[in-house]
Amino acid sequence: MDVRIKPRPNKMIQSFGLLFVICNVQIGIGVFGFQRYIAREAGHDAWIAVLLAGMFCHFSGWLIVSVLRRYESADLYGIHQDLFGRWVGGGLSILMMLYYVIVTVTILRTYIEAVQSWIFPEFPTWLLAFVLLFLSWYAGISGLRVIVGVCFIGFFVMFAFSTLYYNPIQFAQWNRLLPIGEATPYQLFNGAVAMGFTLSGFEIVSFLYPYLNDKDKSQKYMQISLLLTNILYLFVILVTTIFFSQDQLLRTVWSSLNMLKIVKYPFLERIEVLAMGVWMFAVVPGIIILTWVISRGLRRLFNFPHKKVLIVFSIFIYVVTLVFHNREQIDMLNSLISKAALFISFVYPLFLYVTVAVVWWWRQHKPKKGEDELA
Amino acid sequence: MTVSNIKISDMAAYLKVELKKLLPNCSDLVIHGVNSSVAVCYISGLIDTKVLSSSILGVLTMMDEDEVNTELIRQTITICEIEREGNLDQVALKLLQGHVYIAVMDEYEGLLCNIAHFPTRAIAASENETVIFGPVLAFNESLGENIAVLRSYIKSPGLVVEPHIIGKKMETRIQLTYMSEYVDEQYIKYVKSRLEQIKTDGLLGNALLMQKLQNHPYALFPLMTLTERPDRTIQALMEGKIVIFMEGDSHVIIGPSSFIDFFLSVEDRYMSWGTGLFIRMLRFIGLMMSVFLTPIYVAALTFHYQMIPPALIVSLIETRSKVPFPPLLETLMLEMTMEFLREAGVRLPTKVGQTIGIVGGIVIGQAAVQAGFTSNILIMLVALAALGSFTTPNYLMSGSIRLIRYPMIIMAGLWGVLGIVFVAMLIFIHLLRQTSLGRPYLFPLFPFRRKDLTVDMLLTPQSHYSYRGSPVQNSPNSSENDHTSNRSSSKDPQSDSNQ
Amino acid sequence: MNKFKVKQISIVLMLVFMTGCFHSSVLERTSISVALGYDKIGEGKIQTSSVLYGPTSKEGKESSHVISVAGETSKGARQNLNHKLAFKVVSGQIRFIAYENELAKEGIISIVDTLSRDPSYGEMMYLSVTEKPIRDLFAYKYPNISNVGTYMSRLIAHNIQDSWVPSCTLHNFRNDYYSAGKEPVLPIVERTDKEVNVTALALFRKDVMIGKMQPKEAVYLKLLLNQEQPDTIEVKMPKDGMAKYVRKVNQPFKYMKAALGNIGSKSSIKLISKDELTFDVSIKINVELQEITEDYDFAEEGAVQKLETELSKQMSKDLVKMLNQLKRLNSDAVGFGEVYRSSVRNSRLTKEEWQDMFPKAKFNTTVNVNLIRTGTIE
Repeated sequence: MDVRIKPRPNKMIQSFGLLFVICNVQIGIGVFGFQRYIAREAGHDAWIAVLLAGMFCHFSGWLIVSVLRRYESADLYGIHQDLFGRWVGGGLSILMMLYYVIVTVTILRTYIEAVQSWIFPEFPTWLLAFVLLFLSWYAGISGLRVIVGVCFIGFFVMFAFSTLYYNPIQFAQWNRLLPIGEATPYQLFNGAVAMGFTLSGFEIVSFLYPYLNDKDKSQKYMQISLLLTNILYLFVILVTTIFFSQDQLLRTVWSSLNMLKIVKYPFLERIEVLAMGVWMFAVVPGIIILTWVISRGLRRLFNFPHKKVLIVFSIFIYVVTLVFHNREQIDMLNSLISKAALFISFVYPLFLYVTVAVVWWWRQHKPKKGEDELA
Repeated sequence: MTVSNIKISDMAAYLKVELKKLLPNCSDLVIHGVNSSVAVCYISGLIDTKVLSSSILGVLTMMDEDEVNTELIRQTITICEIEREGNLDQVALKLLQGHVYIAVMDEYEGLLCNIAHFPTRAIAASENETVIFGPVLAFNESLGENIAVLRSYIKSPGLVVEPHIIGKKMETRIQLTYMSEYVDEQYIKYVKSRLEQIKTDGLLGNALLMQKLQNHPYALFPLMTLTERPDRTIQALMEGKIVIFMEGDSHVIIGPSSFIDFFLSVEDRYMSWGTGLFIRMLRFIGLMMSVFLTPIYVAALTFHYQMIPPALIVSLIETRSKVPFPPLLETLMLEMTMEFLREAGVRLPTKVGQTIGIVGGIVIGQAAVQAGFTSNILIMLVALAALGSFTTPNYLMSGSIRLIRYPMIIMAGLWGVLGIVFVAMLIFIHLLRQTSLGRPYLFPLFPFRRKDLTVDMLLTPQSHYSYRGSPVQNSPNSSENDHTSNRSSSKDPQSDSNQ
Repeated sequence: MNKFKVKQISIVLMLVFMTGCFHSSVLERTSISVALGYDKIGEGKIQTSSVLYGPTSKEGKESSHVISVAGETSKGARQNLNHKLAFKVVSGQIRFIAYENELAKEGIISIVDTLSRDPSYGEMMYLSVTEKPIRDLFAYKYPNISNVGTYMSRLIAHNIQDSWVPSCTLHNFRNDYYSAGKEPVLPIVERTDKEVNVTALALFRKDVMIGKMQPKEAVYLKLLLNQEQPDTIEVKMPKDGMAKYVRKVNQPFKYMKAALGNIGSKSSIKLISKDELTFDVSIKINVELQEITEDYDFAEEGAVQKLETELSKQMSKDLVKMLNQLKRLNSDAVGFGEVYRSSVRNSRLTKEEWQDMFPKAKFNTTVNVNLIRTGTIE
């Protein structure tokens, strides 16, 4: 396996596309009910925790893109191999892929769970999982550009729906935000950690990077997309805090959907039913991207053909999804994955950055050996 | 087998024998001996008889029988397109294309004069693509006349007209036209390579050629535009698109087209900026209504009763309580009725067709409600949806839109909102996968080009008067997702890391 | 490849069709409930009454029918409703829920939370309390009301919009119940002969109803809540101070009354002393005079100013009266606790703590009336 990939120009995407991809991976299904986990830690100062987590996000994103820029055109699988050699690096890559499998399953399960508890209690799990995976397979086989296109529509759906949160503001009690900064730094940090899982996923850029056309703009668009996500989350958490009283929020599983229940139009009521369905547009892109990353990894490591891997993998994820039955298992899955997500999105990039810096410095001082490894 | 091999006395009699061998079932072949040494043959109906009698027969009869030779005839006859031909096989082919063959005794080669006059209709007003103002002219079936119309609008030498022949038996002439300074080379390359790949006996009409030019045989939507309006064609040419004319078809192919193009009419430009924009928005709303209105009705009534506001629910319950069918069936039946009415209206002669529309609409609608067959509200929704689909200026596109409504209605009846979203997403991914002449089908929307989008959709005042406001050329990263790359991505997944 | 895909897609669609049919709730094949009422019948037994959309008459007028069943829990009673109906009862269109006063006095949060737990209920349902059994309210054949369920929700919505009833949706109730420094209030509805009325407000401590507040005081509560403003305010004040402006004494009473149209009001509550628990309560209100019971001479110098000060004085008194009632009942319907919580850093206020503190609170009230117009005549 080569460290660097040089995709043909017709498979490349613009850095602008990162905007849609990153936002989609980050927002997805988490936005439905992340508020109470943060409020549990940081109370009515949850928004500060979200802001804090957002700042970590920007920093971590900066680290990731900086590492990628050193390698001009490599993805994380290549970097692993370069830094840790074939076996250790490959092992890390496989761990990474396993993590993404679990994330995909979590997204699928959480969305299905939400659909079942909000609109169709009797909708069979296997059928909905099948539908979602079918859609992601159909888009996934068509190449990266179509994937970015799907993300594009997901992006628009998400930001269009966030305008609906204007309505809860009318029921706002602004003094719920006061006094600002009552939570201790420790609580805020815990809140930010709880937010970490919701914000994770942006490290996906390290797999897309070789496919970017104008790599010099990648940092800019990476930061813009992180900023957009952070603004959206900040907006949602602010609205949530002024709309719910604290105890009420802690009891609400899907607070974002609950807030939509009050939206009324003369021709349509109970927007949350619509939102639940339309949110498929925001959930499927996340699944598509993750399955794409996994199948890319299998191709890079074992040279399996992309399309076959995609279908085999979809079936695998499908089976795993069906194993989980009830809310408890999903919660367990969520808490398990949230720790891994924190590590992979926030700790690992820092580690990688330091390692790359050290290794490259070392190589420069022993030029002969460095060239061998790079060749 | 040449004329001079055998000595015979009467040229006409000789040709009769020889040509009958080559064109045995051609009863409209005329062989006319001017005198014993000169004969003229042609296929009646394919030539201009006036020219024949005045310019050919008139000259030939004046000639002296003994002095006559082809060189002399060639110099005397006042017809521009004359060539020498000795091979009777070739002669037979040319006769079928409307040439006149003049053979002279004792000469090795005869003369082929092109005085073809195929039956055509006059250039008239466009009937199927009507606009309120702007030029009303439409193309007709004659290739030459169509190109002439085009040239009458665009006098630039930059207008390239490239002839091609399609079909082994029918040998249809087509013309590839584009503005050389505006067009993107890769579209031409794409079209040419596609044209070379076409292996067929013949294609009747541009609609078939269009299907051959697109590389997605299962595409739900038309990937290129068909039009019979010169103004639309010229607008496309000036925007750097490629136009294909075909002999015998009044419609021309315009490509590459994107999804949005099908909802724009040339007329929009003729109006003031605000009105034009308003009408485009109206069509967009019409599209949304025709696709989503009835599925939402089905979904809301079958599953999501809580979404219906209290003001509506009373009247809905009232009308629905008499209907014996579930909403899905009710809607499908009414939608089908609508399609029957439309199809019947199209098939019948114009005057009867209009009556059928009115009678069907009023009688069936009224009776269906009174008989408790459907609800009033649904009739209104179906009618609105149908109207919405008729606002689409392109017939092929409006057909596609009507088609995608059915899976959506069915899925709405089965899965409610989820079904609608599922089908919408499927269609959206399908649209994303399509390319038109190698350009993504959803072009200004995705890959996102803000400038093109504002120019195409919003029709800003600045762009209103300039055709070059929207260059079709795109940067290399947006345009090459064509058939080759699509196909290669399936064939050789190895390619990008193996170098 | 393409053929392969098409085949696959069609297989998928087939699968979908075969398995896609699951339980639907087709509009006319469900019994759509529009209002629910909970009565207490004996220990631990609840009677649930439900107003349903009935078959519509020829004229298209909506009608309703009412069904009551008993059960151990609210949900259990609702399940029993199905025994009496041809179609399954669905609750997504319920817009009005009433609790009988006996039930409200024992606490209703378990029933309220049940509503919120089930996603098919809306959050914008109006909750209210009745003093007599609800069955009586629902089942009465009103001559002018075709569907009492939808009528009730319209009645309350209108009163929230224009009158002294504070917003009383399910969301509001739970919101107040779960916040540390505020108690919920609900309107009390009654049937008086052939009409239904909103008569008073029910005050709660946590989820237990502990008292009533009359409309006269409720106006001030609503003004303090900073929601939709009441349209009119009636003030009854002593005549003494303004006697010189009254041209002709019409009535021999000591008091005169004024009806004020509210053009816009603003209230603010500030905590000024944390230790003594003193709140500054001020209302600024722009009004136009709609009615006055005496022949008041507005042209006179200082007459309008005098009226304004008298009105302010009286309204301030009424406001204090309302606040004292709240204090006496220990039900902080205004939300002083929230003000306390948001102004005192690290207060970590809980509901219990605030209930101990609230009766000790002191209020400085100021009402500032600004008479904009006196109508089109003088």
